[in-house]
Amino acid sequence: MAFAMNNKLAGKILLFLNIILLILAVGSSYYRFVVLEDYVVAYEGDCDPDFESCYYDCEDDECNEYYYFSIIERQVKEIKALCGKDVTECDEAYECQPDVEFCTISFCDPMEDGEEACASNIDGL
Amino acid sequence: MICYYYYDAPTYLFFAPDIPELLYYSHIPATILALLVGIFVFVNNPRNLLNKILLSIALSFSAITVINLVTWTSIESSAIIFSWSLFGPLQGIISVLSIYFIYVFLNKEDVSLKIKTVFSLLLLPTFLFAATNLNLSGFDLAWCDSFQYEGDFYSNYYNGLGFLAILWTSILLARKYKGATRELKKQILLMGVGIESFLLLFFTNFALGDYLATIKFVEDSRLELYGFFGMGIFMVMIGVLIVRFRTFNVGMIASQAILIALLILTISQYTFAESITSIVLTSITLLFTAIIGFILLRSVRKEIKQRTELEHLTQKLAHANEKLKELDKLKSEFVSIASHQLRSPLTAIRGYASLLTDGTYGKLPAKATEALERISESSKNMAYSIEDYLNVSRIESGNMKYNYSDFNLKDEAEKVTDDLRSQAIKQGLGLIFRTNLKSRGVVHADIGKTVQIIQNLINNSIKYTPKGSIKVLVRDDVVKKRIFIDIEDTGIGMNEKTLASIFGKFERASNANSVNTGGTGLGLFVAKMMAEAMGGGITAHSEGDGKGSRFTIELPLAM
Repeated sequence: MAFAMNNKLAGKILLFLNIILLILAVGSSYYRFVVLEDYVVAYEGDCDPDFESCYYDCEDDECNEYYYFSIIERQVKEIKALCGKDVTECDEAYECQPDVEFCTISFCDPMEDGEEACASNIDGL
Repeated sequence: MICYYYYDAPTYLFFAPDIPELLYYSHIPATILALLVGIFVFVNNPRNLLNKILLSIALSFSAITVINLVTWTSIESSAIIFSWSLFGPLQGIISVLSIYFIYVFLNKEDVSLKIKTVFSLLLLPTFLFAATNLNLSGFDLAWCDSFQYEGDFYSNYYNGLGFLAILWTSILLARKYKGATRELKKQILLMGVGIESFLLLFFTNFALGDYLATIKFVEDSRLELYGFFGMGIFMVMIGVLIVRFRTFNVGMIASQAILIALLILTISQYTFAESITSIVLTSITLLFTAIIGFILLRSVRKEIKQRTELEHLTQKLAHANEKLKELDKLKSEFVSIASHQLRSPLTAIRGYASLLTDGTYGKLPAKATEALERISESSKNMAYSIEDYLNVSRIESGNMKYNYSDFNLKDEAEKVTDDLRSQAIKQGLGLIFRTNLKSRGVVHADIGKTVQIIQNLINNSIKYTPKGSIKVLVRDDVVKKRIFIDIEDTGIGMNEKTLASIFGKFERASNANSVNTGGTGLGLFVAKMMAEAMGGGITAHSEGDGKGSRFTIELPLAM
């Protein structure tokens, strides 16, 4: 009888712990991603295939023209402080300022991304 | 930050352009259906564990559909990445709850603490690492998603939990199905189709959609939208289980309400079905729901009618039974009182008759002595009849007392035979006693009542045998540990009809009056009841009218 009672109590404690952990998981995710905005954002930067190896994609549905881009990654807090919510209207977003803690501009690497993913005119391609 | 893949911001959180046509059709009906069934089942019986788990599954599923809608329609990176980070914990919860649900459904009881601990340990990593880089580290503003920033270990883990749930529940269902009754097999099959459709569609489409989008094989993870249809199948099966088998103890009215709500829900989808695809899909769903609903409602109506009739009959029967019991009690009480009041004056009559016959009050003329002997004989017969009435009354009221002891049945049967021999000889009958025993013939019974039974049966034989003889045989079966007394006569015998009813109350052989007009028809009934109460019995055998009878008393041997 006492054993059954203990099991019941232990079961309730387990349930309570799981609920607490779930609340903590949701709370900490909200704190990190919404309050602190502690994550990296990636967006497309400028790239000229005459000088760099660029990623490329179709300009329209028919894919008659291409556009070329690099990938910029930086902390969301910093880019938000610099440009607000929209990076498309912000020139500072497309270059890494020297005092910025984390900012990378990646160009297409045929070895890593595959040759078909990259466009470059440097060696006559 | 704002994504720039989708140019227009959503209105009212959800409704945004440039999203798959299937999105609302796959999410909203499945969510409302899950919540509707979950809440209905829970409200109907909130204490039932199975109902609580079903509601928890419905709530977790609804939470997933909401966050999934946010990831599809929002253009705000923080809202999307926060929602995205919750897929792991919620998918983990759905996996574990599904296993828990099947356990409780099959075993009708809660799982052990050990299994609960295993469930908690399985869930722990999904909670602990939800807000870390192991889950998500970044967001792609161009594509408006986080596929490239998902941690492989974490996403594989929670998707793996889904596949573990599929495997675990399948094994549980299959194992129970093997030894189940036909009725239970049907229930297991319905539940199996429901839960496995849900888990397979949900987790396979989510994992596959996620993987194909991560490797950029497809533009987005719209494959996952088909995963939500599994919940619809699951809920329909739950509905069938509720209506056909009352699995969740949900009342009939609630079942009808669920079906009606289901139809209203399906019809209401036309209000937001703008594309041809949505309208066609809604029409197919409506048709499907209407057919299933019609079949189920017809079954419900039939069941309600049967139940009402059955309840009405049960009430009537219970009422009649109560009345009968009351009457029987009154009858027993009446017989008991009347018998007791008759017995006292009868004892006085018999006593004084005996004194007069013995010459205590002086010598009487021969004719007076003859008359007194008749008075004495008649009052003795009346006393026996009264004793029979009292015995019946005691048996029926459960007041018959038995004093058990070990005694030699052979000796007692022989004594009774010897006592009754003079009476038999007086009637010109032979009374023979024989034994065929392998044991000592000791029984554990009430000696007084056993003697009464033997006396009753030999007396009966004497009464109903006009000529010939009566044989008393005591035999035993040591293997079966039983002892038998056969009382066989060459008397009036019994036909099949009489044999079938001879041990009933107030039953006498059809030809009994030709030999003996006295007798209440209670002696054999009382004897049989007493023998059965002592673990034995009495059986009767006859070849037919005029061919004699054999009565066998059976008692257990004392070991």
